[in-house]
Amino acid sequence: MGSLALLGCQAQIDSPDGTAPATGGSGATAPMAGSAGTAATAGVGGAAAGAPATGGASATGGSGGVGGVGGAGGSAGSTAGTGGTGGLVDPAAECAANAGVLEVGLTRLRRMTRSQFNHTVRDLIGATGTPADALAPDEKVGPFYANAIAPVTDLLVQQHGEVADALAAQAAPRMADIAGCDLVAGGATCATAFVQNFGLKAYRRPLATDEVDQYVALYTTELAAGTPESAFTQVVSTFLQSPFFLYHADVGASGVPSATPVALTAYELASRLSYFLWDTMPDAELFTLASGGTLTDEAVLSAQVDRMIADPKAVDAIPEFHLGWLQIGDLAGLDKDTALFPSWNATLATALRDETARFTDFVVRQGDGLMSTLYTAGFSFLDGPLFGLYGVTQPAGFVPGSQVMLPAGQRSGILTQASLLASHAHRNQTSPVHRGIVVRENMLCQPLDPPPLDVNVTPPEPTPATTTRERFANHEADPQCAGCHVLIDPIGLSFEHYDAIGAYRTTDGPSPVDASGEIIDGGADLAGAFVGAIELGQKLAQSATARDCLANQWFRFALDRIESVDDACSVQTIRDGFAQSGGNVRTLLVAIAKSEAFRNVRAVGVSP
Amino acid sequence: MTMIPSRFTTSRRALLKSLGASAVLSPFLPILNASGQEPLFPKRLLLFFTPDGTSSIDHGGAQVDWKPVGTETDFTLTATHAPLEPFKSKLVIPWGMRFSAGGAGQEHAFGMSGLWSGATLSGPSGDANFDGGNGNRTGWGSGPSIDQMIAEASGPELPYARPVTDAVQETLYRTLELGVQCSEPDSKHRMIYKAADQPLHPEINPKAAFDRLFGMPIAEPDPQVPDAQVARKRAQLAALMQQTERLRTRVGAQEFEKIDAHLAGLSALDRRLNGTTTTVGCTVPTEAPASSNVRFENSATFQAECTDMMDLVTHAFACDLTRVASVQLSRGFSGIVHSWVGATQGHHTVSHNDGDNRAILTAIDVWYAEQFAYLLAGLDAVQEGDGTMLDNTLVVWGREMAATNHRMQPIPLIMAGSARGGLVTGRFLDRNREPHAKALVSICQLMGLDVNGVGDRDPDSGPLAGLV
Repeated sequence: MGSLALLGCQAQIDSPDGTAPATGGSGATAPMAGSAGTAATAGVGGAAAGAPATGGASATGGSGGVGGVGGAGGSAGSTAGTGGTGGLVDPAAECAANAGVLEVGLTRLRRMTRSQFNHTVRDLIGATGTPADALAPDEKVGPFYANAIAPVTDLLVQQHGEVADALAAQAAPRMADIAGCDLVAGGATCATAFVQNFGLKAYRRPLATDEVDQYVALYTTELAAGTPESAFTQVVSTFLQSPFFLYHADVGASGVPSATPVALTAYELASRLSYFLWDTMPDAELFTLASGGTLTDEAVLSAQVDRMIADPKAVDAIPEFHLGWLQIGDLAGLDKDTALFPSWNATLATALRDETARFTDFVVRQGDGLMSTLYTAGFSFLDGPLFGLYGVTQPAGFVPGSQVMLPAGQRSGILTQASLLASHAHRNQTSPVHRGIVVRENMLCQPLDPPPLDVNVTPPEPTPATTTRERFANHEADPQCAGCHVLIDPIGLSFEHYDAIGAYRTTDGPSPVDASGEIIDGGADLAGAFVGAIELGQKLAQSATARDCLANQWFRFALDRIESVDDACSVQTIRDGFAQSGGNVRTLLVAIAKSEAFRNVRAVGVSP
Repeated sequence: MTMIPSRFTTSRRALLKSLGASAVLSPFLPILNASGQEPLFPKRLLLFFTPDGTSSIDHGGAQVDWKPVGTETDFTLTATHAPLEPFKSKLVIPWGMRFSAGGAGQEHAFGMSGLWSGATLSGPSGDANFDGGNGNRTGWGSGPSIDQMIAEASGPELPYARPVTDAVQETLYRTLELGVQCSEPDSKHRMIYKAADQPLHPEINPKAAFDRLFGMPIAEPDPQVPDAQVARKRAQLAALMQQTERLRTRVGAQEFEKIDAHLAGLSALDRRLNGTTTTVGCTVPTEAPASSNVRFENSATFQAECTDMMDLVTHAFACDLTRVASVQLSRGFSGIVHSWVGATQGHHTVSHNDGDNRAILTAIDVWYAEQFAYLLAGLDAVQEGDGTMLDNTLVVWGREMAATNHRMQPIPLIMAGSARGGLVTGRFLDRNREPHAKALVSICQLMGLDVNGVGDRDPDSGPLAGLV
């Protein structure tokens, strides 16, 4: 069909009329951590008034790695890889350069995400459902939701007001419980106690005297015009709109934002912990420890992390980390060719997501906690149509939520889970490029340059006469492509036993599947050819690079930011703790909570 | 469509009469012309977005040619724009411009952020590191969009005479951003910017937008009876504003923009409560549209939601609830499956398999032209004096790229309405390779904003020659 020629990566140098930016090749030939400085050199731009040629992502200033290839098909928007090491090239060396002076990265003021809002109002006032659906959607830091950069908008402030009023009205029947005393009979005493106790939970810290007075005044004024109930809803609605409720604003004990790191207050630490491990506000035990001042004690902190991981509320955070890390997004919205894949529908898509959520939650919270288990486990948690997709017979007496052994030689760990495989595939064929990128960037934290702007990133249509390997052969053959693609395709092609919806197959077009693979230039512990995603998983399971990368990703999830040079000492300590435990994620989470980056805050940025 | 009255078909005298003696307190008086006569109608601006570029063949292939054929005042529309035929006399088509856009990311991203701003899309920096398409990472756009610039200004030739900080405003909303399935915020999905690094979100739920515009009861002001609900809300807002100022003392200077934005949002709510809304004289829609809160995409409800949002903005203009608005259908990198014109794959997918998909892509383009025609029909059905609301509006239809192969010239920008007589319509101009920043400048000038440049891609470009 001649379409193989379209795979040529030759950058189009546009006519010099500025219609599109001319770009050269992909610039750096080794666009990886450690040499990321060279990634900034762009290809040669055209002589036009068009947009300047873009270079690779700069590794300085903690900008993180570059994403993967979006393009035809795929889920909502392009599935971009993330990863890279931010500004960190060699944490040990960068830590040593600090010469013992405490440094941590900048913490931005962040508005609570929609899921944090939903969980928080559930715990604060017993709200049900997902009221945050009425709010505009969240920004991201890396692959994880966090509203760190763009300011709030008029619309969002208005939406928050509407949601708060509705939630307060819905909470009115529970007024006595929430207030903790009888507002009808108890008068001013109860009103004050209500404000103080509720306020502590809403602000996640004790209120100052004038803050209490402000809410009591709101209550009293409304009481005069209305009823105890309307005064109650007035107070609750205001709390739910308060910037002290909506924003994570860590500042330290003095309350004065500092350009050098200061210790978090015990309340701030409690809040960071609970949003990290539970995606919600602290519970009574955390508040008690905070008020007693013992939460900052390392042994107490450690014990709390263990408790919180074991608590059912962690199911709102742990799976979300993995789904974000692996960029398994809106599976139900994935556009798949249902003529080729008649089993693909919303029910199957949900089952895919549930499998990965349940599996990762189990491994981390109840299983052995090991990264290697994530990458190599021979069991998973299947339900409904997933049995059919995997060709597994539902065991007699099967109870949903119980472990299922998977066919050895076909399935082993997260790399062979359909959620990952379907997310990183096109609508009617696999995508060795997406799959290679998610491994390289998300699992190894080795950033890649994006393709030149004018490159055709649309793969040729699959036909019965061609294999995937053949259709993508030009990535290796054409020297302008090979520099980058040698880092991607040999990884992604090892997944060819799994089709575009993650089902296992033994043939690809006219031929038996060739799943040979290699991680080129990935480091010594990843060197060597392998066959198939299962062997790839085994490689990753024992890799220090993969282990350090997973630590990085959890750091980002926990702190709502990309690690920077200033976090070098913390990152090194965290990595060491993770390594010494043999790659135990529970130990990693404790190490993160105990790190300097987690327990201190620098709220003032350096002016550019 | 039957002619429906706007708020301004009611004479000032009649309006005052209906409001009674206390009408002097009503803030929503029509603007009088210089001799205090029957009202000049307000000028409105409406920015309209549909995704992707016009059909082309990747890498050197021909683009579907949408250039009108003929002379400036006697021209024929191509098939892609056939649905606009009934409105040809009210269109101005400045064909051939090149995008004043660029920076980080690829075209879906920098085109989106530059379309209405002419400003560079910033590269990633620190935690500002978003998906710019195809593995590119970006920050946010680096300049305001023209709708925000125009709305923030005030003066006799602008939509608003009252400064934005006035306690009493002419309309309920200074600007209104509506959208359909605009997905999560990143540089490919947001086109309206209040300022650098300050993207605005559209409201994408038609029911929520309706409730916010028309859900409130029509209130007649009576200063003798204070509104208990208003007092309650204002007490909340006073407390919240004080708290937000206190938060300012607890954050680094780099966060002050966020504090300011939060305060601005609270102030806007407060101002809205300070005056009363009257929709006397306009046709208020009584039936709310269905509620729909699509987080990413749902092609099955896309058509209905587009119609709902276009109806809402028309009613909002007719009832003078705002004078500056934008309607964004989908986003850059759209995945909408236009099955109703025969597509079986998402828009962006179709756009790059274009050799085989020319017919489908053209059908999609025609469908979006039909949406634009529907929008114009709605505006044109509102009588205002001897003309229509469309005559008093400037509508601009834009897209984030010129062609599906990512070429950024000729940009498919189409204008409609005469901006209250400032623009002679029914014209086609060949402005081959002119930077579109010139069109942005012309739009600003037509709307009464005296600028000579918009954005940093082609700064100080001056207006588009011969447009006005």
